[in-house]
Amino acid sequence: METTDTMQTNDTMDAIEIMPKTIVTANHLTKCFGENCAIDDLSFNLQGGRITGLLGPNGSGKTTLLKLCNGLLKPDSGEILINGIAPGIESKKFISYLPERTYLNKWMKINDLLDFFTDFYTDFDKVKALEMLKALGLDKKTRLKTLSKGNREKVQLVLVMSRNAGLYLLDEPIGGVDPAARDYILKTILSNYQDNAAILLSTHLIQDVEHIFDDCIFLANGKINLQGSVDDIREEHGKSLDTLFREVFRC
Amino acid sequence: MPWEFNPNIPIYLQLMDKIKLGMIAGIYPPGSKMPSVRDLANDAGVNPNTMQKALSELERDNLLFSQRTSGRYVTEDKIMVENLRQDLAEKQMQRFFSAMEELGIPREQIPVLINKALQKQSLQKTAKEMN
Amino acid sequence: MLGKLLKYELKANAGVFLPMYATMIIVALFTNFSILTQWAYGAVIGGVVVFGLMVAIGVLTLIFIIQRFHNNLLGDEGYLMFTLPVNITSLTASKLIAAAIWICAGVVTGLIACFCLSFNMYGMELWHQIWQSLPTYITNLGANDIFIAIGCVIMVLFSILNFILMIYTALAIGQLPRFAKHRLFFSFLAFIVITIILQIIGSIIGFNVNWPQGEGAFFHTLPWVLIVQVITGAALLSITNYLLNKKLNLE
Repeated sequence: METTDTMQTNDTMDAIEIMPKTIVTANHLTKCFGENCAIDDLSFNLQGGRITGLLGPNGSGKTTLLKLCNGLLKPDSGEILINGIAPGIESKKFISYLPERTYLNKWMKINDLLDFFTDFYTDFDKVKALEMLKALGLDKKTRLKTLSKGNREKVQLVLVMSRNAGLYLLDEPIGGVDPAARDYILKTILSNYQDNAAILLSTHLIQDVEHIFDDCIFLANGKINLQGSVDDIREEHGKSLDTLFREVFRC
Repeated sequence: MPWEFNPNIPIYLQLMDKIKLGMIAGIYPPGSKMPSVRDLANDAGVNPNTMQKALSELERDNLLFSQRTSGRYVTEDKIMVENLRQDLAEKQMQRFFSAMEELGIPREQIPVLINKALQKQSLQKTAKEMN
Repeated sequence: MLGKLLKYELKANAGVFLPMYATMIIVALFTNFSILTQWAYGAVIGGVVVFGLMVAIGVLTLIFIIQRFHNNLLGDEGYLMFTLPVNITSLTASKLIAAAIWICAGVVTGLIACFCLSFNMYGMELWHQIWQSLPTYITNLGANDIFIAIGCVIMVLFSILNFILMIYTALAIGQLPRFAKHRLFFSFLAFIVITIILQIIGSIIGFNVNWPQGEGAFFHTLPWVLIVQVITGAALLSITNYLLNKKLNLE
């Protein structure tokens, strides 16, 4: 799985192999809402420098898992560790989270949001954010309220990806967007890839996105159905993730 | 625009094919320096890890080599590149033969059909030039 | 971090309150001017507007306090606020402080408006009386009286803060998973229950303590009242923080 490259250039990816670091560890993680266990005895590891797809139909527990990672929910039993510690203020500095919904105050202007992120996140790269916004043709002085839903989501994506975080949690970033926007979103995610950061991207639209994953976790009814390197899985089963997914989750 | 991929085949294999085509077509001429992993991955719209894997495999095949301080280069071995061209051409011909077989066209007829098609093409070309 | 949070809290509603304060003072001056120039029409209209603004500011302040907590922490924006690298106490404290600031600002502006309205024939009589009795009043002032005066102001301030905290606690209770479908209703119910509980506790304390009698009674009681208020406030704050930390249930 790991590739070795033994010379140094300006691009760190062509540099001496960096030992992949385990960024997220889940041990027998369980979270239930009343009778229904959204997450049931989950155990897995996420390595730095790899993009992992969290795949599953709606209601399979993907959002719950992401919330457990960033501290918005506390586990009922088991543990989840980010860099070896339970979610808290330290892990929040380390994690950049893009939820499914618009989580920004719509009355704020883009400029205000840039200031906000600069104020609270030391790893926020305002210059990078401004470049991306310029490329999108978005004026700093616009209020979010006046933007289309698609543009609002792009602004959120720009803010999240302009952080030099160690773990990116992206919840359905391409749900409900047109193909052009989707390509833009994937390109943004890939071009901001840090070779020591882990990206966990949840989606139920596998076909459009499976080509960017290094690893994947199939989630069904709160349990892990399948996990591992995407290339290994494709070779072993002889089919694309999308086809496999449809078979596994056939109604 | 990201490159198109067949999701049923490992992506790194498809990347290797695309880069090989690039070498033959002269986009990556023999002895030239390859763009960085990140740039290639960005253009292709793929995960840099996957591109890294593809490039490492091409190194293993000796189509690329690494220079200690400056990066990856295309092999200077022009013969190797030419052989690659022949290999890929042969693969295409195999596909062509399979397709003809499916159409029920016997092998002996194939050279005739090819000549006919080539003639037709050059006629069309001269017709266009005259207009 | 608290300072930064407070900055954004105040910015959020300053755009509404500051113009209203300014308008109220300007109209008060205008009304006063109308009174001075015997323009009955202006005075009446002006008076009505000033009164209307006072009521509006009072009502809006309360609404905004509730809304700010509910929308910013328990709505979609909660996804942003609770993933910031700040502790929960800072989040609630910043809201509490901002709320107290707006209440005080509203009251002060109201007093300024009244002050502006007093520089006329009718108000002059009142000023005259105050001016007359002031010297005797000051000479009779003892340390105890000053103490009581300050203590009363603090007591009023604590009452305001505790009132706001009761609202926050009620909202925090209402967002619990078990109340998922009827948040507002249960928040309202919780507020009533909290009020009743505090009243009961207050009565129990009231009946079982030997209150100082006679002269200086209030002077001796006051510190204890303040202490009870602080304990109540601390308890409410702790409950709110606990619920938001461990039992957060963003939709």
